[in-house]
Amino acid sequence: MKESKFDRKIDDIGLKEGIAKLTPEKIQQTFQKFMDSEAGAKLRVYHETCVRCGMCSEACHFFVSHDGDPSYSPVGKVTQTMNVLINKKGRVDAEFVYKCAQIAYTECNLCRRCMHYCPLGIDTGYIMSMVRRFCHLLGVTPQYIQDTAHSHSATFNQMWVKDDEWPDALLWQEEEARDEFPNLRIPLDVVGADIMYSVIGPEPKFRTQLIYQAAAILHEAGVNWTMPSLPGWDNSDMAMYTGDFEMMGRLKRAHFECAQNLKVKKVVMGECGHAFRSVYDMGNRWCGWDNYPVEVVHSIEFFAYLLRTGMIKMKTKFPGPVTIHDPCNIIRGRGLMDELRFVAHEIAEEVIEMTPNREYNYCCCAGGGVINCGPPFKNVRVKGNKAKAIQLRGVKEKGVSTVISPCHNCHGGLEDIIHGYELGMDLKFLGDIIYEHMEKTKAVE
Amino acid sequence: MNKLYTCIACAAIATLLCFLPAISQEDVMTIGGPDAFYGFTDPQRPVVMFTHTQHMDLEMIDGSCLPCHHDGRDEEGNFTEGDMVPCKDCHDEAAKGEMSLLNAYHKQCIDCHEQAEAGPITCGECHVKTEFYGMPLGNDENQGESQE
Amino acid sequence: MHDIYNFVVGPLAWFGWGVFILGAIYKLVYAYNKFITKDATSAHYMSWKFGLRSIGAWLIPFFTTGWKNNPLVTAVTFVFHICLILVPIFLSAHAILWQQFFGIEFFWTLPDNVADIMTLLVIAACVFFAVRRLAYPRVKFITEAKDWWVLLLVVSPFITGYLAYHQIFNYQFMIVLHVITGLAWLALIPFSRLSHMLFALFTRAYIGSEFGGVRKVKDW
Repeated sequence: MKESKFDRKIDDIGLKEGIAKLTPEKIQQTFQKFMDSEAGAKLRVYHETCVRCGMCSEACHFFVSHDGDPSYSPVGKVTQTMNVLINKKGRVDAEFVYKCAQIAYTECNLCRRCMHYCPLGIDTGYIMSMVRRFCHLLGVTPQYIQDTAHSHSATFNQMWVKDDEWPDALLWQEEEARDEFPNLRIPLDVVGADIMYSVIGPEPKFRTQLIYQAAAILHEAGVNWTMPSLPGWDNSDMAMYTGDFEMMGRLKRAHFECAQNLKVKKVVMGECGHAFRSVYDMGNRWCGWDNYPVEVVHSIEFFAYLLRTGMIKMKTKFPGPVTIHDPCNIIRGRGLMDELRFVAHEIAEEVIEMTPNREYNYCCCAGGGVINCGPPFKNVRVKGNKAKAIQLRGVKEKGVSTVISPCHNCHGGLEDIIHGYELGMDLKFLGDIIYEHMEKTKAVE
Repeated sequence: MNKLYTCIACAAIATLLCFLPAISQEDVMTIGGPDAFYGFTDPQRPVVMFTHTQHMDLEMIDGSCLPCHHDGRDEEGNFTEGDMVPCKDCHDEAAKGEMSLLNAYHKQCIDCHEQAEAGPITCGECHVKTEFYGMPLGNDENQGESQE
Repeated sequence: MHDIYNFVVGPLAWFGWGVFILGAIYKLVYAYNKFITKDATSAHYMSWKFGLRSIGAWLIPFFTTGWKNNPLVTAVTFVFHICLILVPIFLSAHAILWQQFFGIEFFWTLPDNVADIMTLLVIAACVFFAVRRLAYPRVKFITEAKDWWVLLLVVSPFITGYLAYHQIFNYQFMIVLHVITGLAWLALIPFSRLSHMLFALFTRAYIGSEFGGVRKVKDW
């Protein structure tokens, strides 16, 4: 391959400052060390055996959205990054590392849709996360996502929520909710509760109503639950996406220690995608656990359970048709598509599906830490997901104006797409609709 | 008396007829093809030309019938001399394994040629193609034979 | 010419086979060791059930998402690989060599006229792949020099084999060239893109295990 030119460089202070500290020797030594100590058979075999058929291209929403620009195809991104690194044994310049970082952090959502397309089963998402790992080792990471990773290291949550602000946010929501449910509590640190409810850092920071809603649903269902007041409450894990695997492991350990100290039977987590990935797929492995040490139940599964057992009954259903956006980390990552549909059909009058859907869905283009790379890369996400906009417009023409998606990142990404392409649609969490339309027996009129 | 002469003449003719094949042995034999005297009526590969006298005259054979015309082996594993019959009478064309006619030909010819360091050893040197979908290739049908 | 022929089917053939077999063993053992040491957290999830399920699914043409979305490539790929594997092994002329050098007797060989067509199919498929590499931007962009070398490596024994079989041009020269290109093909399997022949089943089984066992979805 000719050295392809990279004409879409975006200014990011984290990347710029990052490469300013690099020397060719440092890059090469770091790469050598990375290959010797971390990269195993997977990376090497993938590098050797990929036959460059290009069949994965159309799997990628970036490729589709850029009208078939080959530099956005999964294998195209690998060819421009890891492939060159391995071929040149790390003898690349700092500018190249910038390019690697920009591609790996902002032009791949690690959604693994391409896995349905590769005959050889080459895990492009893994390769890109290894590029990120290498960039992290060099200290070349986009500023905004690195900031969340710093927050993780300093506070064990993603959003610099201070130790006193967290219980404060919970008490605030409790107080708000008691206007509606007089006896509602958000029980803090109840040892031996059945369920520990855990959320991601952004919930107390700027989606606080989600905590309210969750508390209302758990209260109405009469569940014996608790929330931890100490660090470890945050289940999110941006360190996983920056390539800071050490921190990823520490975060997961802290989270599960929190649950184990409270001796809960299960952890129920909010409607988040990447946090789920970090417990069943990545964080657990870094810690050397086969699976999570305390069972983690995703909101989808938990709502399905509440609705099946009748612990929550729907008074009304959401009027008008809705569509479902399947979040990669929960659906392609954990096969919850049927549970999601069960819940969606229980709570909405009509569900109109987009195609492709279920485990073949197009990513929201925000996941994999891309949205966390912040404003400099917002247009990358919006332009890079015309495919989703076309899908959404398709169902919009069938009369759908509400999109259900049980993932914070998907909400962030889809919101920008809906605005960017002027689709005029609403986004809902499952919790939004359940809270709005459930029977509230314990509420005051 | 006439009868006696007639009888003798008949006997002589009969005897002659009996030996005729041996005496009138066509010098260039074609292995494979419609007459199938040496096997393979419908061969996949081009027929093979074999010149009997040319082989008989070779120094290493020196007129002996062995090792080609053999029938079993002695204690030392060498072939014992057999009847002057076509290979296919013992080596079955339809058979598989070492005794098959296909193997017998290939082994007999190639092994001997290897040993003599003369004569054809690769496929196309014996199975000579003369045309490619009707186009003459200019290959001499007997080119294998002419190599010494 | 026979001296050269004897050399290429003798010592050179042993060398070619040796490099292929030893190289393949080395590559597989090396990868296995790396896999269980460096990728232990992946190796842990290997599963016969899901691995075989995935291999099975991808062996059926037009069954998986990838195959369905690329029908022409799928058709050509399947025909190409079937011919590519069957012809070198079951060609009647090769069966003679199997018998001659390894004492292996086949109970079935490809009829020559069928093998002839299959050879042409392989060559045609290679032309298709080459055209695709040149004309299709998504493939052109990712094509490296070694992708061209490997294509040349694969097609050359088939071209020389075809010419030798039909005795076009100088037969003796062509047969020697055929053996040399065939051996090069064999010997370079472990050390080129062709190593997917060694690893494809394992990469497939691994990702099948991940998707089936951990992610609980289909990987096709």
